[in-house]
Amino acid sequence: MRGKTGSRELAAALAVSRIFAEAASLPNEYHTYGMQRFTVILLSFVLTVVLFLPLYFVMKRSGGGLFASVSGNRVLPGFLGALFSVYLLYSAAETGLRAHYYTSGTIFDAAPSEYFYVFVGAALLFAVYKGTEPTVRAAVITAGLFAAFMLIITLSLIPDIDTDRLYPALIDDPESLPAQVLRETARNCELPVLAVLIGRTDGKSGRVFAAYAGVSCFVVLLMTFLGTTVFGELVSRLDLPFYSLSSTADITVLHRINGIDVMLWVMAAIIRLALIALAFRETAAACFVRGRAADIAALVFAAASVGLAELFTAYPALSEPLYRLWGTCLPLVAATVLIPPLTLIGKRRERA
Amino acid sequence: MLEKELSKNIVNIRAIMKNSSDLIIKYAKAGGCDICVLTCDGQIDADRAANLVFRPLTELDDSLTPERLSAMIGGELLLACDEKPVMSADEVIESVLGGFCVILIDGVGIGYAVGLQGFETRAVAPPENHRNIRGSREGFVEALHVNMSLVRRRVKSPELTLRTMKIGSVSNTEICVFSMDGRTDKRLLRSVMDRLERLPLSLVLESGFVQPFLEERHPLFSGAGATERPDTFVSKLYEGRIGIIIDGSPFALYVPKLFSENFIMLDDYVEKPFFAFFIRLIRYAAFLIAILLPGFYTALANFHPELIPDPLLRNLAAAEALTPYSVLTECVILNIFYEIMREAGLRLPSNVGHAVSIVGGIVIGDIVVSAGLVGAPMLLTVAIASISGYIVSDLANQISLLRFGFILLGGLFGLFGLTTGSFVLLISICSLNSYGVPFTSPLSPFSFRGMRDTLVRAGWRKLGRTEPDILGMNGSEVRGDEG
Repeated sequence: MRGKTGSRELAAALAVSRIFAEAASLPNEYHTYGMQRFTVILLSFVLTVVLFLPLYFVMKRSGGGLFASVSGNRVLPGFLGALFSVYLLYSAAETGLRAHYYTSGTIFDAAPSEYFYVFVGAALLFAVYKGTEPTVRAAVITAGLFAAFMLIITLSLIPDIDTDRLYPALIDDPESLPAQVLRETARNCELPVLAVLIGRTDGKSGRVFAAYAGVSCFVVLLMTFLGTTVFGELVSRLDLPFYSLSSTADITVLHRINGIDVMLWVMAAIIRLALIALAFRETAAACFVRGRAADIAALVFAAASVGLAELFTAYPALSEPLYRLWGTCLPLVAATVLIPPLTLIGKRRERA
Repeated sequence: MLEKELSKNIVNIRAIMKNSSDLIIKYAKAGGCDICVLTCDGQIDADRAANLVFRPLTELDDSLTPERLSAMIGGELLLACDEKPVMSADEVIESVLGGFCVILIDGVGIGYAVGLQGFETRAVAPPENHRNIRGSREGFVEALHVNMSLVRRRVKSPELTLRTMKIGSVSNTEICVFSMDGRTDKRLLRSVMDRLERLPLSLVLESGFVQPFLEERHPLFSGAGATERPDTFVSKLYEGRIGIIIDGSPFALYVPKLFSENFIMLDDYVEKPFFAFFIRLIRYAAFLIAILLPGFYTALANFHPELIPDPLLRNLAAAEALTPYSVLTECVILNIFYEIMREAGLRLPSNVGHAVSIVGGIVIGDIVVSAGLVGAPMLLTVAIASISGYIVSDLANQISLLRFGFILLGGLFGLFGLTTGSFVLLISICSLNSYGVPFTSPLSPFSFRGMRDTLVRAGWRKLGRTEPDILGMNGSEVRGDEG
């Protein structure tokens, strides 16, 4: 676990992570038919920029990752680290849960969920053991495969695209708009992950954010465009619109390519889980333990997140309150707006 | 140190050599002094020894003192281009075993080693493994000095620096380290030299003995490359790499090596860029087909038949219905048969190898299907994957292993197993660094500059405008202590 990670590569990894979260978003809640969906995505992008600003200033000031400033303080590291770790743990568990949901009807059929988590957990532990550099490099190659896949899907769906399904009104239901924007933004755990992992890169956080947010926004808009123009009103009744798109695409050699689609999403899910676990590693190294112990803590965290996901799969009622809480965007606001100023206070005290 | 008394030196040398029968000691008189010429049987050219050493020495005037004779041999009397004084019995033995002819003079505590190497070597011939359509037909041979000249003939510039050294405490194998000043990073060179100097081997018979010490540990892939072609070797040096040639091996090593280099052939540079791009795409596709196709077929047949188009699915089902084994068992058995035949074909003499091909290709290939042991689609799948594996010959061993792994994952766990296996493989490849250069660069970390000669191959007008630089890849930083 050493070496510097390229900032462009980190941006690509975060984009893969973000796009997975969008593609695997739960049914009906986000994917209502209508042009309002495009407005929601664009407003969510603006909100993401706003939430990034506090992180940006802290990172600029500390010259490293989010917790670079609090390392010398006695009280704050434990408190902030614990808060942040809880946020990361739930984000990871939810990612595992979503990946299982996404695959359970496709390439993972009716097999017990334990098998799914054992396999994903093994791959995740291997990625975390190898460290940030290989994970991010693997994410770049996955991003390349995903781009090729998007191109194939788009080309194969061109005959089915009907632009009449788009209409000029960009806001259908103004009352639901704020809630939809918050929900769209809420599961953007890539922002805190970026803030922590930036210390591992040789680049500037602003550029990483611009690249990651820009690319993921564009891809999500493209996915929404395809879903809306191909399925029309039907899109509001689909569980997983992007999966349905790949089911529709026929490339002759294979009857359907949704299996390939889900293979890519599983890889993207493991990358997201690994990024979160590696962000925890950086948090643990800054706030709790040092050196090799932080690596072991990251492995334990990864195993715990997969275990928690399995628990949520077995007992869905357990995750319901947390799911609703996360949907309010408050945890993300806490991680991006509340914690950063506290780290600066820690820095001032340390200097005094 | 050598004694002044010749007989004592000879007794000493014989004792160290345990009276080895290939040590030839010839006593003679030269210039009125007793001298002794030591050689190793079969290591020198006898004609050159007679003409360049014995004749000039025996024609000298008989009135010379030992000191004067020594001064003449070491000075004005030119016996050979490669001539050096030897001061100790160990040096004498080392020189004799290295193909030198050593002259000792009674009354002088110094000897002279004259390079007259003349052992039998294989003639320079086309390389066996790295063949090309256009370009040189010369391949490296086993003799180090021949290989050194093959490289030097291609770079007639003082930029190319050769450093010889000996490795292996018992074999005393001579090796040559190549670098190009101004192109090769000095830290990279120092790191390679350090590793070679610290080599813990006593016997070095082939470049493969040294290779593991020049690369970072990885179960499958290597960060050090090997080539039989002098032109490929020179092109690697030109990119700033370090080359190593080992006496006795026709394979030259170079470091660092990238994953993408397995898909680049010298012919790509003499073809049109569009064709080079096309053929490289084919090679990447062949690699993926070679490792994934049987596993993918097994996964689809066992778990995801809905992905297969209906007409094809009906044919596959009809073929598989006639066989007694499961798809996974068929696939594993066929692949084991294939690996056995491949190994037999590699080790057997070529005339017997043809018989193996006939038995394998016609008898087994035809009979197993007609006997209903395996289905024809499975045979076709395994055959396509096997042929694809030959396209990327440098990765043939890795492909064989990975293919089996993916067959088991696909057969037991379907596409989900293939996905997690692919991810682990991807992470594993991405974790490899060779002297700080990421193994997967310039693909990841992505570098536009590096991509000009990776999947696509830019035209010579573009490539010629900038200097290639392996360490200029994005994210690379020389690290020396990863062994």
